[in-house]
Amino acid sequence: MIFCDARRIEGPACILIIDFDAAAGSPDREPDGVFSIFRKQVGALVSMVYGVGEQFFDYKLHPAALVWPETGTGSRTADEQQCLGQKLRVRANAGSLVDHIRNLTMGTVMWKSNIDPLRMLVTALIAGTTACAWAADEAGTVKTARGTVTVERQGSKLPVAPGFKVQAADRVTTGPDSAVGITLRDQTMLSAGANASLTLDKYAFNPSTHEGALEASVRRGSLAVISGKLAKSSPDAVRFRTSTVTLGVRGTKFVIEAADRDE
Amino acid sequence: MNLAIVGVAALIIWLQSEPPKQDRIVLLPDADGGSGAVVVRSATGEQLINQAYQSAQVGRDGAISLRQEDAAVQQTRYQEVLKALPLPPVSFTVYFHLDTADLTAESQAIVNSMKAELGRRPAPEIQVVGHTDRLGSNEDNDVLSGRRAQTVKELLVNTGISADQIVTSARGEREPVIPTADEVAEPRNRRVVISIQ
Repeated sequence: MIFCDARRIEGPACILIIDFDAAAGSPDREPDGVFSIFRKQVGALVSMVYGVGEQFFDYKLHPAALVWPETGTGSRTADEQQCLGQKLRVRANAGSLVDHIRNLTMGTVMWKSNIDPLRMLVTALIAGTTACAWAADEAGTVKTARGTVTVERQGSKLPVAPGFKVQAADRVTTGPDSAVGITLRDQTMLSAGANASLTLDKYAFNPSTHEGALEASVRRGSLAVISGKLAKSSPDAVRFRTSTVTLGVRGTKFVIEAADRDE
Repeated sequence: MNLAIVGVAALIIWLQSEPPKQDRIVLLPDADGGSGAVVVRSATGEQLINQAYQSAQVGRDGAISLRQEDAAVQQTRYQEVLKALPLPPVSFTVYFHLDTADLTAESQAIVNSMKAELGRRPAPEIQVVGHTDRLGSNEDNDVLSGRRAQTVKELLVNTGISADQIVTSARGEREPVIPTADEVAEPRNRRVVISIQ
């Protein structure tokens, strides 16, 4: 059963979560999905970004979003105190929340142990009125496509045309006499030539703070890059890789040619 | 014996015509003619390339050799991949006037330019980013810049641009055009930047 009774989070929020994969296995789970007692207490205090909460808790986009009501109080660290504010109640399936947080929070997760085992606490501090219309997983948009361009995503091969929304973990491949151009949310521009294979390993970008990360690997073919806001504000957060090298980028335009090696 | 020599010569010629099995990175000039830098790290070494057309070629053992390429590679070896790069984003800045909801003549001209851009780009996206000066707290300015961006979004939607194409963000006081000390009013920082990519 899935439902969401939370308002849209329209600003920065902090969410304290528990490892739901472990919780899902608990025999104390009630049939309707409300967890009351949990065995494992690994929590993550997650600093969320503008708009992330909105997509995340917008059950229309992510029916698996969740929150659990606080059923009691425990002692809290200073970080948690800072995050406490209005409490939300939303429900979800185990696992998806952690995955979403991992993809979206750009390394701000702090893992704590021994959080009060008897309760799951999710609180959100609502501030600001910024509404972000991006789907949570969207990293960028294909702007040019010529010939045969495909994206492999979760085992499926998707045909690509201008307007296609690229996500982190997508592998973009091009056939002979083909090419593709993509603009990412932070205005990094990428293009791949013929017979290329490139994976967007990691992508996150906070348009308010310009924090985030971009990691991409080129398995074969040519990749042209014009770096954007991410490289400008945190060059160390942008990494390109081939089978032989890792590249650190300092605000620039360059081409990577990866030799095709049968591995 | 002659056949063997011919055979070896043919082998050598064939090997030299094969594409090099090495990874290569070439730095190109920026739009403004400068060049950034790329740090190339292999298992065994590290090199910095920071001149336009400088390249790093990486051997299987991780050895990195630097070379200077000809500018013409942009029209030869890299022509197709560079041609596939998207159009760079364009930006329009709107200064925020608190006392009017109507578009001034200048703002209308901006909207016309924007619509022209939208027309010439495949799959265009609009980012509306609100900014403030440093008067007020960071948090208040986050909220205020968000509201400014939202107001501009509404103005754009009223001109007929689809709301689905517009994403708003609040940058607060983080990115002033004119740097000032904290708590200093600066009208030129009170702006909304509209980018089309």
